[in-house]
Amino acid sequence: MVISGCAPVNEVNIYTSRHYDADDILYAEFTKKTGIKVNIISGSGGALMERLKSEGSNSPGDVFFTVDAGNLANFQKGGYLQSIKSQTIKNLVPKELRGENDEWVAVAKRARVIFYNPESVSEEEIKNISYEDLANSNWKNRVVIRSSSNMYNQSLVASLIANLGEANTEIWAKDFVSNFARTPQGNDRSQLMAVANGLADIAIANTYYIGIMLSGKGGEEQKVAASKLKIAFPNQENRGAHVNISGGGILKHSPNRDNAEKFLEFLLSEEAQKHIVNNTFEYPVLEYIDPHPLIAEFGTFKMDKTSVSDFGKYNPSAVKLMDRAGWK
Amino acid sequence: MKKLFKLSFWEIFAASITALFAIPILLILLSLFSGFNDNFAHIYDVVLYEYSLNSFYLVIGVSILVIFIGVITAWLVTNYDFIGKKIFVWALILPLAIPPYILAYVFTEIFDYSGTANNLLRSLNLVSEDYALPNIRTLTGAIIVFSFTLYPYVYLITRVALMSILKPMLDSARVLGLSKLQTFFKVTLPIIRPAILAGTALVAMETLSDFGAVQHFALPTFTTGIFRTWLGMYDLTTAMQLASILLFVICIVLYFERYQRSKQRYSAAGVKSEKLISTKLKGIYSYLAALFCFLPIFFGFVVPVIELITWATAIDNTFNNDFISSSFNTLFLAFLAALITSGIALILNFNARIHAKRSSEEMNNFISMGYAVPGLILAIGITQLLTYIDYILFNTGLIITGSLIGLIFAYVIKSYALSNNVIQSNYKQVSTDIDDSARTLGSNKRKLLFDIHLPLLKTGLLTSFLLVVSEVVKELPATLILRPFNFDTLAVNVYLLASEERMYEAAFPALFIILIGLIPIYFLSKMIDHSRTIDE
Amino acid sequence: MNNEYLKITKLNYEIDKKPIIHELNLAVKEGEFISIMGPSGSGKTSLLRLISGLAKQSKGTIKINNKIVADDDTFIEPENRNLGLVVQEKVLFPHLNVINNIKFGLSNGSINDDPGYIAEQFKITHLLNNYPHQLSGGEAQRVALARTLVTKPKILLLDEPFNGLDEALKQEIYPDIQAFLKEHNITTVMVSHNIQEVKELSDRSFKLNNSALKAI
Repeated sequence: MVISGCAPVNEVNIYTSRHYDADDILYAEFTKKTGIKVNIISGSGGALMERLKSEGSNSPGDVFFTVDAGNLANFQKGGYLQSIKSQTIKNLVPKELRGENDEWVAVAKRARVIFYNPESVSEEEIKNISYEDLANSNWKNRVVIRSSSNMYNQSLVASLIANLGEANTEIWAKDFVSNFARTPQGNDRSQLMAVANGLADIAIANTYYIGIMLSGKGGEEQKVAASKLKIAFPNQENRGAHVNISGGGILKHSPNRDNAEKFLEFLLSEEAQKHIVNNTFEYPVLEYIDPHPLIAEFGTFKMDKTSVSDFGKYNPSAVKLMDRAGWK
Repeated sequence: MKKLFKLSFWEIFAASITALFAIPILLILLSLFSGFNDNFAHIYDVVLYEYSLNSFYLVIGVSILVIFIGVITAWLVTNYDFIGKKIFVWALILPLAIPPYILAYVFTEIFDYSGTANNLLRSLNLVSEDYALPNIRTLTGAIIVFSFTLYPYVYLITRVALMSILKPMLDSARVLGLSKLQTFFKVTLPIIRPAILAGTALVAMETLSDFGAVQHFALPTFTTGIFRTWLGMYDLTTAMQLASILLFVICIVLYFERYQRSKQRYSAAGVKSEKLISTKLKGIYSYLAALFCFLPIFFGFVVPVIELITWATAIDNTFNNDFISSSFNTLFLAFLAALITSGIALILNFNARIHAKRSSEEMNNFISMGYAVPGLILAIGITQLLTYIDYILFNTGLIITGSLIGLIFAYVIKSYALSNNVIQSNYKQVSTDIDDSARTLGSNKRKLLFDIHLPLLKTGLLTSFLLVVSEVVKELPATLILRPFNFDTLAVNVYLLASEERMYEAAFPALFIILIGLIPIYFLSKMIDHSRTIDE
Repeated sequence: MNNEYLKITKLNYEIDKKPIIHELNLAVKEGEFISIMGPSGSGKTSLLRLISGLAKQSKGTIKINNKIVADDDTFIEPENRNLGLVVQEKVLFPHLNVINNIKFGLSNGSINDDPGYIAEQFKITHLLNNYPHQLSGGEAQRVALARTLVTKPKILLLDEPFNGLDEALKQEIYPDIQAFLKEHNITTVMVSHNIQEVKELSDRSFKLNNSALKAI
């Protein structure tokens, strides 16, 4: 845990806000492969940023690793990142999954989709559904989603702003909120449980949760609940389902810059991508790698190619818009 | 002739500590001069009203409920004899061992759609399959949770006040011509009213300070707003401005509480509890009284503890590495904070004693106000302080330790009042004549402190140590923010697990916290059960 | 023989602006035993506290053996004045046994006397291992005296030290004290309201009334 800043040890210092135990295996694999020692500092995005602020140019941080493009955009805006130079990385990751000035890249994807109980939702209702449809009155009291303070929702709204404009999104949001079956509470898993228990008919959550629940890692009750649910991928007729990312960037004052880039390249390697897919149930960035069977059985889908860096751009407006719409 | 300007070491130390304690708050108030940006305008327009309204209703609702529960139970156990009364007297303070956020987590799990309560009702066929008890994650639910865990403050203070009203006192009033009702309003009420109000004010401050419970209930209040603005919007300045508003409100409540406490002028000098004559309740009344006392204890302590034990035993892997390292961290922090706090209280009280100047006492009183400041706000102020210090120190690797120091600093500020109270009352029992003798026998001040006072204050110091430990173990918001990375405490574990709806895994650490929370219960129960001995 | 071993000149003292002691003068010879009587609240205890340095005068001078211990420019702390003070309240250190109580003042670098010897003088040798709470009132006062005298103070200040002891006990203690004080030529100032006691022990006595000292 302790960081030694100036000793000539071959190492890389990673500031991460991901809290998946599976990541520890990734780090170990990297060390095994390259001989580079991995030091971890974990915390929330905001806390890490405060830390970087106070560390200033003396910061020993090399890599920033997190979930959600909104977080990455905030760091990029704050000037804490530097451009990635590696051509390998640029070849592997399409433009829409890279940040401004190539200051960060996606290493995995997740979609924010609609989970529903087929016993209480008819085929016609759910067929070709879009996020925009969720504001319609036939969904009154049937929708659950977590709080607006969560970054995933903020990014979803940001993408709506990017595609529909702020005014339209605000109108949508007000109606959407009026369809909530309950005041937002709990996390994504909680929303899925609510649908399984009949409290609501549809929930908006990230794709990987169903993988975790079905795998049994969360206990028997969750596994049973998850098996009742189906996924509907929104907006298949137009732009595609909202996709967000896990990603990383090189910190501005990185003392081990080469190692930092090596680490990011590693995350995009076949074995790391496979590991991510199999353990955190995310979708890979490398197109030819298959997602985990539990996820794959829900089918392929069209992914929204809105540039994820837009999420960061519209994040402040999204937050205020959600407040105005009464989305707690 | 001019006197030489001479301050002793002790006075300088006391003054420095006082100044140091004030800094975090000052930094926060300083934010009011930084100008209000977009985010603040947004908050002001859209959510500030809601934060204020929720906080307001929460405090009002909780205050009413705790007065109802606390005063009636205190009245019952002090003036009447009924089934189980001897147990109820001390058992009524048990809910204090459970911090509000843990009770919130437990109640949520129990009263959720697929929780114990609904399952029970359904299995007993009392309700249909679709039925569910009203959602507990609401303002009403929060009021109930806070009331069950905080009423003991009002109970305790009211009980002590009631104990000072002896029957002979009331008899005199009757003989002087007052009816029973008049006696209540002219004798009893004036004596217990300040106590009730002081206790309620304390409850109000605890409620306004809470972060864990209201966040879990998704109730937008000041604390959640501050947290969200800082860590969600990355805007520390606006968060501090919000914090200033909350501080202002708390200040008002604090002064109200102190004012009420100063009005408590009853002399409870050596009342043997047997001398409190109580009326025996018979038959149905006895059962009713017992029931009324039983219910708060049942919901505030028995049910949560049983549920937690059930959950903890339902899964394996409780004694994992996480738990061990968190326990170690928790106890390490708690012991360190307890030592430092007790040490400072000792020195400051020593200083006040030997200099007997108004200023020494006032410094002590000023620092004691730290308990009223919400942990969340302290943490923000200290973060800002650390940022300034770090800037000066560069990155000398002290960043990690700096954070720990900041956390301990927060703990010390928060628990100083507790420690001070205990050590101060212990000190009062040591006659100043002893000081005089020691000094004429040649002791300088240092020798007086270490050779004479220290051994005589052993009880007070130990009590102070234990009480601070239990305070620190329960603390959540400041720890969440100030802890160094990869350094979790038990409270943090419970918070993180509960946020992910993993209550079963949170049960064991939660029980550990409650266990340590029983320590102050032990001391408090002595206060209300036994008499204070009359000096021979 | 120093005629003015303890010399107090124009001493003034007020509490909360109220004058307690006003322009008081006093001179005590070395080895002399003087008593001060007077109504309660007249400032007798304050006078002792001023001499010992536990209180600070507002104006005036206190000299001991021709050295100034207190005046407008100087103030020597009580622990450095080498005086002794025995009061009527129980002031034995409760956490130390008798022998350690007695030895307490010795570790502070003053000239010492053998504790065993003084225990004999005050007839408390059999109590040396006891703790203060195990002692009777009379025994405790003896220990208090022993503790103070073992440090060979230049001046002994007594504030109603025998109050509360019954007659028989007092008659036992007086000779022992007198003998010890005379033998070691210790100057003593005692405050008392007991006229018998004053007559029996003192060489001179005064009345402190309306902040003035008058010989009786």
